[in-house]
This record gives sequence, C-alpha cells and structure tokens, in this order.
Amino acid sequence: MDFDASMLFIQFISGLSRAMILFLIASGLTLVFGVMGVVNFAHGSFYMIGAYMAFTLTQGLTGSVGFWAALLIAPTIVCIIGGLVEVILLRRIYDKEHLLQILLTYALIFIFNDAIKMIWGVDLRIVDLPESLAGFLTLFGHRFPVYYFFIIGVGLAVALLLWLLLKKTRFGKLLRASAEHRQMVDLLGYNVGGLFTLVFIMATWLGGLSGAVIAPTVRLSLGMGIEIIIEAFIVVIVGGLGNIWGALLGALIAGQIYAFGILYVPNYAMAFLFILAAVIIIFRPYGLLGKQAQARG
Amino acid sequence: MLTVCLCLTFILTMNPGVAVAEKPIKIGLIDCYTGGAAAFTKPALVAWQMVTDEFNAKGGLNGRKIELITRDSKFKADEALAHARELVLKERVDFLAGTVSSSAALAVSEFARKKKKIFMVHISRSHRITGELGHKYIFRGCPSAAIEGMAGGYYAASKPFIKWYIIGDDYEYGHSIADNFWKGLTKHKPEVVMVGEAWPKVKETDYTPYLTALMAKKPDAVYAAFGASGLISFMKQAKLFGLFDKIPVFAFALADSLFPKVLKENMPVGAYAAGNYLWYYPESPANKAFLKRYLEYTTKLGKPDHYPSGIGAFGGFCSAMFLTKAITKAGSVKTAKVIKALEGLTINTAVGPIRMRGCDHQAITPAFWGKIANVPGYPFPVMKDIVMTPAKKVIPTCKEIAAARKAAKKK
Repeated sequence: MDFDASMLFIQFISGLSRAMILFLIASGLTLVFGVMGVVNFAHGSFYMIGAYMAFTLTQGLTGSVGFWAALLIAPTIVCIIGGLVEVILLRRIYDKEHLLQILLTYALIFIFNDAIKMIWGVDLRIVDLPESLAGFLTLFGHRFPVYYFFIIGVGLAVALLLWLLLKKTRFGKLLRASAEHRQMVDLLGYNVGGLFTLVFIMATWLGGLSGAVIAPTVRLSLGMGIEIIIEAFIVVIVGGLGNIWGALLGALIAGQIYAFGILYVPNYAMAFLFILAAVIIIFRPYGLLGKQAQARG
Repeated sequence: MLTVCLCLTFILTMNPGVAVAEKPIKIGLIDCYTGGAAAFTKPALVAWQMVTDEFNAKGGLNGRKIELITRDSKFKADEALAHARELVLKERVDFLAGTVSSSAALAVSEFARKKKKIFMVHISRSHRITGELGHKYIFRGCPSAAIEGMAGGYYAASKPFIKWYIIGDDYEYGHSIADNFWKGLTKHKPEVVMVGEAWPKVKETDYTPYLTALMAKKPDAVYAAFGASGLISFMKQAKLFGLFDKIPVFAFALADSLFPKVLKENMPVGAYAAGNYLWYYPESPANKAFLKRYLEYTTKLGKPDHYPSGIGAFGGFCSAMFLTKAITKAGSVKTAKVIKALEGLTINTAVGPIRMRGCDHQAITPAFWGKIANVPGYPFPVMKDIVMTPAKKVIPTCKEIAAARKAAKKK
C-alpha cells in the first residue's frame, strides 16, 4: 500500500470519534464500579432509553430545537429512572455477593427491553440530525462529518468535567474516599447511601446522554444497548475497572486499534481488540491505570 | 341423561370422519418477531394470515382449516431449531415455515430433512438454503441471494464502473449476496477489479472507520451487502460523509418500501437499488389488485399498509400461496403428495407468474433494479429507470445446483 499521510490522519480522526463514542458509554460504567463496586450490566439499557427518548423528543419538537431539547431532557429522564432503580433495587444488595448484583442488573436489561417494546414497539427508528450539525468538512481531501466532531467535543467535555468533579471538589473527595473505604466514611458521619444514589444518578445521566448523542448516527432497535456494551466493557477492563482516565485511555486505544485495523487488515479489526483485552487480563489484570491491590467488599 | 352423554362421547370418539374434518391443518411459523427484523417478519406474517384466511373462507381443504402457530426465534439459529422441534414433536404441525435469518433457516432445514416435514422458507436469502444444502423437503417461496445477487451483477455490468469496493454484514446473508453479485458482475464484465472489501460485524454501531477507509480507496462504485438493520445504519452514516454524491453505491434491498419508510429524507437519492417487489411497478392490473387486497386486509387489522414490503409482505404472500395452492392441488396434507404438487407449481402474482422450480425447490422470481430519485407525486424517494432482470437469465441451472449439492455431500 502506498503511504498516504492524509489517509492516516483521517483514519486517526475516525478512530478518535469511535473512541469518544466508547468513552461516553464506558464513563458511566466505570464510575459506578469505581465508587460503588457494582458491575452494572444494565448500563446499556440506560443508553438505549436515552436514544429512544431522543427519538420521541425530536419527533415532538421539529427542527434543531428538538435535538437540543433531547440532549437536555433525555439524560434527565434517564437519570430519574436510574435514581429510582438505585433506591428501590440496587441499594438492597451492596453487601451481598457479586453474583446477586450481576443477576439483578442483568434482569434489568430484560425489564427495560420489554418496557421499550411496550412503549415504542419493535420498528426500526432513526433520529434526525440538527441542520447546524449536518454536512461534512473536507480535511486534506477527505470528508468527515461535522457531527462526529461534535461527538468528540462532547466526549472531551465529559472527561474534563468528571476530572474537575473528582479532583477539585469536596464531593469528589468524598467519592474517592468512599471508593477506598466505605465504612470509614460512614463512621465519619457522611451519608454514604445518599452518596451512592447520587453517583448512580450521575452514571445513568451519562448513559442517557451517550444515548441521545449517539442516536442520530445509528438506527434504534431493541438490543442496541447490548450491542455496544461489550466493547465498552473491554474498554473499561483495558483501562482499569473504576478508573475514569483508564476508561478514556482504553477508549482511545480501542478506537485507534479499530480504525487502523480496518485500514490494513479489515477482516480481523475486531479480533485485535479482544486480543488486547486478553493480554491485559493475563499480564495486568487490574488494567493499564488500575491500582494493583484495591480492597473491595 | 348420563347414558345419552356416554353414547354421544362414544360415537364422537369412535367416528374418525367427524374428528378429522374438525382437525385443523397446522402450519408452524418460526421467525424473529422481536428485534429490527420484525420490520420484515410482521408484514410477512400478515400476508400469511391474509392468504390462509382466504383459504379458510373458501372452505379450506374439505372443511379442514389452516391454523397458523407462530414462534419467536429472536434471530438465533439454536432457538429457531428448538421451536421447530417443539412444533413438530409436541404441536404436531403439518408444515414448517420461516425464517428471516439465513442461519436459522439452515438449522431448521436440516431438522425438517430428518423429520421429513416440508419447510417453506419465506424471507431468508442465503443461496445455500436451496443450493448446495438443499434437499427434498425444503422449498423457498421468496428469491434467493443467487438470483438477486447475480441479477445485481448483471445490472451493474451495464454501468461503466471498473474499480469496485464491497462492504457488508459479516454473516450468512451478507457474504451470500456479495459473492453472487461479484459472480454475476465478473461473468458479464470480466474487466472489473475489486479494490477492497470490508466485513463489519453484524449490528455494528459505528461505520465511520470503514467509511473513511472505503473512501480513501477511491473506488468507482461500492456494493453494500447489508441486512435491513445494518443497511439503515450504514446509509445514515454514509450520508453524513456525503458518500452518495461522490461514489455510486449499489445496494440490493434498498428499494424495499421498508427503507424509505424508516429513512425518510435520509434516503440516499442517487444510489442504485433494487427490490423483489415494488408497489409502484409494474403498473399492471395485477399489481393494483394485490395492493388493494393487501390494503383491505391490513385495514381490517387496524393497521392500513399502502406500501407492502417486497421482502416481508410479498415474500410471505408468495410462500403462503405456494403452500396453500399445493395443499388444494394435492387434496391432502401428506408430505409426499404436497411435495409433488409444489414441484413445478406456478402462482399468479403482482409481478407476473412465479414458478417453483422442481429441481431445487426455488421460486423463480424477477428482480427490479433502478436509481433512487425524488419523483413528484410519490410520498418518498422511489426508483427511476427501472430494469427488470428475469430470473431465467441469472439463476444457476439445475445442473449447477446438482453439482453443488454433490460436492457439498462429499465434504
């Protein structure tokens, strides 16, 4: 293959946009695990609900208004549902074994799937782009859609906000403290239960946001949550379970592996990601940025 | 009183004539009714109901009426097989029908062969179903990817494009339609070259890296070999890249009414597309009659459908027509008799007569190719300059099928 720098560049941008799609979903997943120690299989369902909400809102409000409203309202509704799930269900099983958590969050996938089937039916649906973000830019002779730059921007903004929240605020300190030692924080008089509810609401808000942001690029269907969650899990594992920067790093690696895999060996693009995950699990089971000995209940 | 009752029971149970006349003819329909595939399976089921309702209204088979029993396979081959087993062994169905998924169809087909039950395939396209893996008990009332892919190649050969790029879903259908397209294209235009191919996983969310890689190869034309749900995502993202005004794209099923219904203004105007049935072409009395019949039936169900899907409704309609007509012709539901009645059977449809070929049990269907355009007077983009490729020109011959089956047995 002849060397073409502009082609490598456009493929890099492509990988970056995929990385941000993965990061948006992985961020909520890793936040819940990092602070609460819960593997939330149902995270994909919150992403799916966000996407379907975006569909309804863009149908109801035509033009660009609908899209921006969806970006605001869909995650809000999703995080209200998330809060209810935490208060009514999740809260009861924190001190139980992990198997129960997996059973519960896995069961939620089926419940949400059927709920969506009842509300929206099984037809394939698409969400329209706002006019202002339609179209493409031409970079060094290659076209790239404006909307994916928007996705990259949202991904970077989420990463920055999470970093500020965790490192620069009192709330963030409390979160990190309860992740390290829940009982101690509890004994110091802080309401850890309330803190967990807040974290779960934040994580599901991120799930809903990723659904609303990604919706205009895909077709909506039942099961779209499961389609993407496996890759998001790999990203989280590669980066280190529970680590936000790890999720970002994992997503960036996964995106580039994917983009360049497709360019050179398209038939095995997916395999590389799984091989990477396998290598990481064998040699560095706590992930690239994870801590080696994290005590968890 | 008690004695009368006992006598009646005795008479009823002892008289086989009465019992048989009331026993319905059972058709077990296995399909995926939950995921995105429901866009095809639901209209197909409606067509089956329409045809069997008409059959029953005319008195059925000497008073025996058809009862449809549906099962949801959730697009999984093993689940489809489990349902087939339950339908045959427990429900004691007389016939099996389905499925939208090619791999599910192949799994059920193998079971049908062992149990000596007729299995009528109504949506799935893999050429292997009635090709090398075909047998005595399997029939297909809808087109095969051999017919549709080769027809696509035949049509594409009439266009001036030399450098081709193929991209498609990495599963049975994607590979089957793409292989047959390439076979048809190289047969009629040997100078074409493939500059690249890519096979994203089924249900891929993000085709961007594929699209940038594809466009960087600067092909003259692209062949997109996707199933319904992949095609929608791919078309949507390709439109964001402005692919359609840069490189001509060929996609088989795209002309099916499902796609404009879902994609609306995202429909790729300028793309070359095809379908096995179009609600607006040919403008024949037969087509108008079919449209009216389908609209009346769907209106009765409370969901009027003006634009029947070719893959869903028309495929289901043809398959149901073949089976019910064969049952009437055979005057029986006995497998051997119905097989005999099906072989060579011709049904009259909206696109003209369609014959069930005796040698491979494949319906010989036409394909319609054209270019997607905004035509005034239509609710969404439709095809222009439509070319009908008769199956006779593109279908593998009986000899080729026999050779393929023999080779497959040796493996």
